[in-house]
Amino acid sequence: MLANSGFRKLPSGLWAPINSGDGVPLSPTVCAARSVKGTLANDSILVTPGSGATVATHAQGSKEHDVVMLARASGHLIGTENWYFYNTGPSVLVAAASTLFFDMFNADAALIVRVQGIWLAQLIEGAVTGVGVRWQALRTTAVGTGGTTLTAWLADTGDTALDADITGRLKATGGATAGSSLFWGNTNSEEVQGWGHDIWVMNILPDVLVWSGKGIVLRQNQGIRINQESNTAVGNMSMLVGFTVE
Amino acid sequence: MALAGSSILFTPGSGATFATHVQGGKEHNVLMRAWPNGHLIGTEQAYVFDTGPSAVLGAAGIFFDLFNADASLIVRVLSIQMRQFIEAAVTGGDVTWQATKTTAVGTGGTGLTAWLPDTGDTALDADITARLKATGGATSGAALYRWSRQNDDSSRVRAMGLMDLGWNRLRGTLWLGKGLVLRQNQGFKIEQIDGNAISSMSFTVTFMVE
Repeated sequence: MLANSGFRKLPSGLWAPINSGDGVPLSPTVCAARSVKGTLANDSILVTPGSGATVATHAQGSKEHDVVMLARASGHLIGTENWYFYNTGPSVLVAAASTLFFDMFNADAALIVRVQGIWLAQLIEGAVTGVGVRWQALRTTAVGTGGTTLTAWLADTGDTALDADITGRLKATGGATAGSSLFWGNTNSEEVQGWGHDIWVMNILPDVLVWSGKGIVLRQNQGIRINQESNTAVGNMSMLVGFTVE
Repeated sequence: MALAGSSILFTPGSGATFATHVQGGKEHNVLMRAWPNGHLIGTEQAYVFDTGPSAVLGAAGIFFDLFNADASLIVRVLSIQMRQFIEAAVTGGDVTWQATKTTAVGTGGTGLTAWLPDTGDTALDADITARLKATGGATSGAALYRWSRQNDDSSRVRAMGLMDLGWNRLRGTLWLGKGLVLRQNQGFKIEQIDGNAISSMSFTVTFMVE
């Protein structure tokens, strides 16, 4: 078992999963509980059952275990968040420096957007002489104009449709006024660089913001944009931006 | 998959309203997770210093440093991510990096401005500062750990370059909440141990303040 494979080596030497499947880390206690072998609860307390409220438990080792649900700080149960994704689809890189590739904006007075993931998919489909490409994420203070309007897809079509005040675009031609720089990343369009094909697996947001659920918060009239900073028209890029709304 | 297999009857009391959620005819306690400092996870005052791409140093030196000069605030560094930029065919080499505690603020270099994941949070206290490529100060304390990177464009090691986009360079499970703790007049720096002016590097350091 490799480190960073999603498992943690316990003091016992056993491997146990480190997150719950949605990026939320589990406590060492829970990890231990999920390992193949480990320590069972070694003590118990007798409780006199009452009446009226049926509280969920689960019996293991002849002991009742309280079954709980976790909630975000917003109060929403983890796993019930309304998740939305903007997928740009493949789009050619642009032979101009510092070009706006993607932007999204929250114009709503009440809704709060939390950007929880940004994935870059470098698409290399032929033998090309590629180059390293720099990308920069920035805040924006105005909605983008022009370009191609994107329609968010919902992880669960049973969730509420995305509010019309929250919008995203591919290659806006105006607006999307740049605010502060957030972070940079790079990809490579050379086909012999195998890693260029694999980069899509990585969420490039600062990791703590991802697993805590804080995300990059977009309040009213705040947005983000991703610039293609390097001047190259080689290859295609597709971006996936995941966010929650509350 | 398995639902809760049993249940216990509780007699509701009065006064305090406890959060629960019903599934399968059973009440499930709903918990919120908190950091060890008591702050709910997701509500922490988080800040990010991002150096942006900067050429790797031609000689050993300080690439990044962060310092807490505040008498009461505690900084917990929760994430250190490095992003390497190799944008041309170059003959690279191995570059060793070291994280080191510091006992003095860095001087010179380029002062960095932290960005807030949530602009509704409190602005970063002025006593907490960071720099790119400080030219003085940042006196070394304890060496924390080392690692190396390769900046040859054809190196197989480069295949891991993309992973730098997301990997947290903080060791152990400090990212779960303890973090690398910086009390008053404590800091840390990322040093480049080998001089090698090939390619560029960017560091993204995420921390919370309490």
